[in-house]
Amino acid sequence: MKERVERKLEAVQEVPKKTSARKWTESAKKVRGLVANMYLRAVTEGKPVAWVMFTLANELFVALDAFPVYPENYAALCATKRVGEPFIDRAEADGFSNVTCSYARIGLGYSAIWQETGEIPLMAPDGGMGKPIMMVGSALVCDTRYKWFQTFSRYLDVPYYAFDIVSPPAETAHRPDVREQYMKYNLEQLKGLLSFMEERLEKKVDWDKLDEVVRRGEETYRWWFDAYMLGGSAVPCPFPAEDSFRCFVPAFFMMGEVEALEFYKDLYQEIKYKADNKIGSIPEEKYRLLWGGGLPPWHTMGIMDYVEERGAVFVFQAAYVPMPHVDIPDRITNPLERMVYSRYASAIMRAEIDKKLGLFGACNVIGHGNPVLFVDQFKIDGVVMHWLRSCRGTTIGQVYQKRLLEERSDLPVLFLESDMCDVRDYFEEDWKMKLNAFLETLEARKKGGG
Amino acid sequence: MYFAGVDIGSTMTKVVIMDEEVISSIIGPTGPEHRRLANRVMEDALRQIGIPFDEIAYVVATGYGRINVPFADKQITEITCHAKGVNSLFPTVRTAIDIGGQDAKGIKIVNGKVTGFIMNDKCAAGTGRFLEVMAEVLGLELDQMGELSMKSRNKVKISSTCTVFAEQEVISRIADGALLEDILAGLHDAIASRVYRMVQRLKIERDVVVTGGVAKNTGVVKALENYLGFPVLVPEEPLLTGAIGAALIGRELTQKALESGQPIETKVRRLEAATFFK
Repeated sequence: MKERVERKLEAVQEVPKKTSARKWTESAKKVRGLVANMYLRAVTEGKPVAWVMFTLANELFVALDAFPVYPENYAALCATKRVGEPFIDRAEADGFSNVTCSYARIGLGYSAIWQETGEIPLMAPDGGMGKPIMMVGSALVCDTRYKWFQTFSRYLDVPYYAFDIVSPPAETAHRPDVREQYMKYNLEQLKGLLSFMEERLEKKVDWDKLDEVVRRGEETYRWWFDAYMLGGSAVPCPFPAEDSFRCFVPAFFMMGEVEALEFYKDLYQEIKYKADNKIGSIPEEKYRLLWGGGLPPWHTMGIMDYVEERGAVFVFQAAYVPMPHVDIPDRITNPLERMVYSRYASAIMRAEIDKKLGLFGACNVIGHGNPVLFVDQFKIDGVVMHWLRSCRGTTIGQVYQKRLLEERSDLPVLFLESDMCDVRDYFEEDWKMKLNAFLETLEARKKGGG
Repeated sequence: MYFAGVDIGSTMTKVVIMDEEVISSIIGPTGPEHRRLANRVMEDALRQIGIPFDEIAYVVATGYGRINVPFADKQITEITCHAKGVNSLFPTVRTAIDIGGQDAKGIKIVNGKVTGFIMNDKCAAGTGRFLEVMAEVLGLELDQMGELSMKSRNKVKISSTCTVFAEQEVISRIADGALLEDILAGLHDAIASRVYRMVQRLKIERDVVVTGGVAKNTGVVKALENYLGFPVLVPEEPLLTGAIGAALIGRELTQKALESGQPIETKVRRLEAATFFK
């Protein structure tokens, strides 16, 4: 099996031109290896594999010693290696619209090819996603997710489970009755997922182990948050957005593992050292930019290098923002309850911060931050937002955020359009022209004309 | 001292030479071969005033073909150059709407500097190309469309924003017996509506100027005025604003260098055709 994987790894290394971005931190350089290892182990170690939506529940898989594989991450991997197109084409040939989420299209095309050939598609990078024994979907972040994983399960004839993590309306989130009801509901959802997993894995969870994993996850969240906030605030910037777009991988897809905790401790120490010693990424930081919203263009992360060559650096990205610290009361000892409490409290905290600033106050557990929050904190000169043709979840609301930015900060905002994975929606010359014009605008402002 | 601005757009190449004011200007087609031969347009402009290229103190290239101009000292985007050019022609303008051959853009301007901009993406709707396609379908010359549309009394609604679908729609309307001027008015309204909606995201402020080749079409300008609710300004030669802005920027850079006693940062310039393949 390992030979087959290696043969496939060789087969997909024909990337015609470098489209990825430079890595500035040692931690970011490690991520590629972590990702490759994640997929390789799922294929070679013989442990049960689950295809999972990003659900904030990775700890359950760690505790039950199963391999979660995340098709979202895999789609981004395909995009970065510019091998997503055959999967997208196949999904569209099967009737999926070209505005269906491109993460979904890559996974669906992959599944369709697998169903047809009976094996992992040969063009799949990193050995492919291992054969699953279960699918776990969730509506967290966007509604495509329910049907997407249900469709996977039909292609591959694998049992599917969908669960929910819901957030209350911001105005009522603090009412004890509302809080109790929501937390009860979310707890039931997690319990349901756990039962499904136990049934599929034919084993019961070890509650002591789950407790250990969940508490390790809590610590990991803290290091992740501290590292990212320090990275954004340090001048010059030692941890540009292209690095933080890599470094969220352990938090999203390895939460609860020892490796993830160690990763964020190391990342924090590395950023702290660089911040203390004023070691920035680029030699002369003329403009500090904020990636204000929208997933990144995984197919062309090298565009960040292009910006940096012109003296600008994305010092923070608001697409994958860690959950703020949450103090979980000691009386809550059940690990599932601790998971529910931290997600809910974090969502409320976010809503509260928004409300204090007079913002809309959306109450959600997902990691998208309002760019207005970061403008002063990170000494931002300009904001770039990414309209994604196939992602409503992260594109909707960007015009509202732009208006807020204009009202409150008078900062210039640039909209770029393409897609997170579908490179057909990307037009490099257009991006470069707009970025150049944007930097000229920032220069004019610095000179006092604008 | 002379300064030149070279604006290589998708359809037309424009060259302006100035000292204290514009003393020479040329507009020539870009085309596949002409893009490589922007030097010829420059030579024509120099011939107009009888000066050699060496006497040009500074050359700024702009437009989408700006990168491959071997005789330019600096490349600056068309956004910045348009703003500069517009400000020199109409200092009161706060919003510029530029509709070129393959793109449409809105630019917010304060004191000649860009404070925000927006552009269409990868779509011919709302650009000069849209009108070119429609002119072909209707068997008209581009410069006939504007005046003819002003005769319309019963504008046809063109609902599609896609150039290809709009073409089909126009063919259907012709088959229905709609008058040519009414179809043209509908097309102008479609393009104006699309551009207006895009630029409105910048929060349009008066005065507004319309530039680019499409500004020569009175029908589109009128339709834009209908959406805006007030009259717009149009330069005498709306294709030249980018090149004028480029030349002005060259002049400013030179003057700043001279005033501060710094050398003028020019490049080794070759007035020759661009080489794309080495």
